[in-house]
Amino acid sequence: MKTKIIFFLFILLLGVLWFFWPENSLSRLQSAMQSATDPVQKEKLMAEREEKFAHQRALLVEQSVCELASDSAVLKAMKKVPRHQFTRPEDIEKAYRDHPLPIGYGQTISQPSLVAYMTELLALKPNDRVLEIGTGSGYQAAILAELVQEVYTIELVSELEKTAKQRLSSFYGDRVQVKCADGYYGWSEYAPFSAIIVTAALDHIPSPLIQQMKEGGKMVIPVGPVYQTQELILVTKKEGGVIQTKSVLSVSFVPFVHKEKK
Amino acid sequence: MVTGFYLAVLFVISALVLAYELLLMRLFSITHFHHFAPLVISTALLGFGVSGSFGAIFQSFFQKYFFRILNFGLYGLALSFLLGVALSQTLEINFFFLFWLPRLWWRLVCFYVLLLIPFLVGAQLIVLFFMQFRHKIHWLYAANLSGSAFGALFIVMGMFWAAPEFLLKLLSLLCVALILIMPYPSRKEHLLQLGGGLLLSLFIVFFPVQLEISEYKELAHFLKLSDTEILYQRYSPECALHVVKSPSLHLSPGQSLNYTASLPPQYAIFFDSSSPTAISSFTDLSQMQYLDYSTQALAYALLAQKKRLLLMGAGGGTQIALGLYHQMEQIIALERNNQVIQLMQHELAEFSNHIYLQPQVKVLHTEARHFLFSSSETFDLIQVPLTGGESYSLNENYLYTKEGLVSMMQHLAPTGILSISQWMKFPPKENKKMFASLVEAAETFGSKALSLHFVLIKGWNSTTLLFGKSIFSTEQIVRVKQFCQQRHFDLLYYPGIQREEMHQFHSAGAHQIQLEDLSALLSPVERTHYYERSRFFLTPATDDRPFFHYYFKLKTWPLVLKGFRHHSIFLGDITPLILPLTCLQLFFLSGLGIFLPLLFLKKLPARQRLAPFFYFMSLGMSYMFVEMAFIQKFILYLGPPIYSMSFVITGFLFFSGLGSLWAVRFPAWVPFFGIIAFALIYLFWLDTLFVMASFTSLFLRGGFAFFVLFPLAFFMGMPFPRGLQQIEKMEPDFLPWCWGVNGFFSVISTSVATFLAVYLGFSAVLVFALLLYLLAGLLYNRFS
Repeated sequence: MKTKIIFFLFILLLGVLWFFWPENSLSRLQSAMQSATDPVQKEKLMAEREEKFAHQRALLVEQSVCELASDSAVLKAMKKVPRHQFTRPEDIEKAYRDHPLPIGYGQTISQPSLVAYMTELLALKPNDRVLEIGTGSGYQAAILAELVQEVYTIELVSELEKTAKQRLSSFYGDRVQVKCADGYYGWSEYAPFSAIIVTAALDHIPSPLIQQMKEGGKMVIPVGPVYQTQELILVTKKEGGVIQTKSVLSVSFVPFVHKEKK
Repeated sequence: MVTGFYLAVLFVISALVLAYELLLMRLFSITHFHHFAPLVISTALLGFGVSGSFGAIFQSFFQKYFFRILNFGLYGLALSFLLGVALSQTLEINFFFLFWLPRLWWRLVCFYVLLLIPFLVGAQLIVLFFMQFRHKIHWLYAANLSGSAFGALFIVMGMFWAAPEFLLKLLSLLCVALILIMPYPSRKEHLLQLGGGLLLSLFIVFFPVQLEISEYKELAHFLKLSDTEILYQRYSPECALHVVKSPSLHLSPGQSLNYTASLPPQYAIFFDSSSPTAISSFTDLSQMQYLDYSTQALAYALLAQKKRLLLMGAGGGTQIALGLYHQMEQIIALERNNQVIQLMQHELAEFSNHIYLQPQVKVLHTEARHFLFSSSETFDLIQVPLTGGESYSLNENYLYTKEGLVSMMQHLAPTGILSISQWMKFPPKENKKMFASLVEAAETFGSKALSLHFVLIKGWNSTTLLFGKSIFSTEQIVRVKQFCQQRHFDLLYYPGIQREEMHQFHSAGAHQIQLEDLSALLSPVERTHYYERSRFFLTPATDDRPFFHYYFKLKTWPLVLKGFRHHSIFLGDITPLILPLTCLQLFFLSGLGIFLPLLFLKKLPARQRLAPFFYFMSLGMSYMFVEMAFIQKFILYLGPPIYSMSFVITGFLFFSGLGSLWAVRFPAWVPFFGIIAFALIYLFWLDTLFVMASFTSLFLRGGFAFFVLFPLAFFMGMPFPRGLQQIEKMEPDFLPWCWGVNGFFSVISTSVATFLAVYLGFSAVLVFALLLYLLAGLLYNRFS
């Protein structure tokens, strides 16, 4: 009987070891960086880490993002923006995996391929003025800022707005304007917008947002109950203000992508 | 010798443990997602099984230090009740991230352990009595069951008048009360325990317990915003209500994109911290015009006469306002939650312009199906509005069953219209299933020329399906077209629709509902083939299988798994995955719990172990199967599910307790025969009995429910103590192990019963239960 118990404990131990085993060289690098005291050494390690992240980012774009998005400008922006600087420190190693990550306050940083796809749907031109509803970490706004001159982004949760404002101003200065407000009313001072991107699911499309769209403008909005199937809807404002919608992609909960592109 | 005192202690412990279980279910429904409570708590309940395993391994120790263990166990129970909840609240888990953030697994394991401890301690104390007073098993089992019945009743009543945090502390304090009244051997010890008990009481009273709502629930999100405040909170065993005031509330389900005016000021009622429903403030009905810009308003444009409206769900009163906006002469609105009615009639009356108290409006506190069952009134319009709630695959919905739809049709006036609004789903499986269900219901109802009775329209995220008791006239069809054109809604079906008329404004890409789909569903021959071809389970739900939102066929599972491999969850709806996941973890952990103690018990020939194993397994599973099947059967009779659950659980446990006392007075075959005979009678004739006894008073219906349950539950209380008595005579060391087997399979059976009900129906669950009782009856002689 003792042998059986020892065997059982041994299996349990193996499980625990497997669970705690460092995942990759990046985690080791991360630990080394944290323990390093010499600034030169730390800088060197940091450069090494950034290089690894850049490599991972390129792989992510080539292997996953391009399955959904094909616009070269969007893919270039995805390769450039350091997603790891928009995640929480504990999730930094998972920044270049194609899935969403929690950022606190019940919000998430979206799945990279979905960010790219939603951006592509807006068919942006460099002179466009874009409004984003739901800044979150600021990652989507950063991608937009790589493509257009003016980005306006609204966040409801003040803590998230502050962090995102800090990050975005360090990267893009005044080109990205962040404010803490109810996105329902849009940002009338800077309206009309060529494109609006909404990153929070709603039970109806707010009429102020429709009014703030330019004729010929586009809006992308996920629709459906949170944490169940959602649908990406592309709203187009035709001449004369006629609104048309098209369901373009099934996304799920927070939000995962259903691979079949329509 | 067991004394009345110890029986009373066992009674109270059993009551506390069951009350804690029900309280925990309620707490988790408020703070976490719907999926989370059954997943975590079913695992925690394994504590019942584990107590048997521990009892088997450490039996001499338990017997030797009975009193000491009982004493310490009560301290442990009081503390673990409180700390289990308090500490688990510090572990923030978003279930959906578990799939790719392994660091969260540890949190889940901690969750399990924290919640398992109170059940383990409680069950360990119960099994302790069975080991100590093993010659009076039937008395112990009677105290155990009747205590549980009392606990269920106590906590359900308690939830009406106290917040869950308070009830949690109350349960802990009751444990302390038990400590204080124990018969200690000396005065010194008594004083010591008194001091300890008082200290613990102070700790419990002053320990801060506050419900931490998961940050992923809508209420938590709103509460983070400035200028948001909770105006009123109400608790009941059914749900927790929060009335919230926030400038960020803008609720208008299914609103047309053409509507440009602003919404009136709103409050929202959150049900269990999610599914906000609007309460709009208005002084003049013209302010509610926005409601006329949703697909739900279509039926009003077609009504021949605007006399009587039946509204399935009064909620925040917006749909009542829509009825008043359209000058309906009489509105009967059904609301299952009495606290919503109380709030709307009193605290929120002024804000909502006394909408519940308007002379044309009558709000009834009842379940929709129960109203339809007991009323003979007819209506010009029966409106099933869009609800704010999410639909979960395993939610039972008796309004959307074929029988439910037929009964709504029966309550339509000759030119009456039934209007059912739903969220647009992608793929539109629910929308198609509703169309199919209504068509089949109309067939059963006896409608001729089926294709002339339906109209279906679509907004950008909602659909409304109309069934006319008379066929729709050409003039009505013209009004449908005008309604849609003005609001930019799409026509999906009307008698004579052309393909090019569909999807003018809102394209659903590959998920478009095609005319061919609807034509196939209208044809009795093609419909069956269509059901077979579909990737989803579109066959209408029935009262026996009331899972309207369950779409997964067995052949859908490979697609789900394929989705997982591609870092995507097929269709997003993960609820169908929860059930097998729960079953898997329960089977694995139960297997360990059952077989590990065998290493410590003396070797017996396989046959001698197998007979009791299967006997107690059968009893554990069949008892829960019968209980679950009856809860379902009583819902239609008793009204809101909470009544059904309370009556059935209390009735079963109490009468089984009585049965246990009488167990020895009957020959061995009698209980099995009684169970099978009564269950068969109820399987075939329960509905007839309910029709014969359709009293209006809930108390009379409850009394009749007890009358029906009594003989069955009475006999069901006998096999378990008789089995334990036999084990005690033959192999006393195996007694706790058998208790554990029964405990493990009781827990497993709830998930298995749901699985069976989804695929085969609740009647099948009952049939399985009978087969298991038959098996137990046959096995009884094998080891006696």
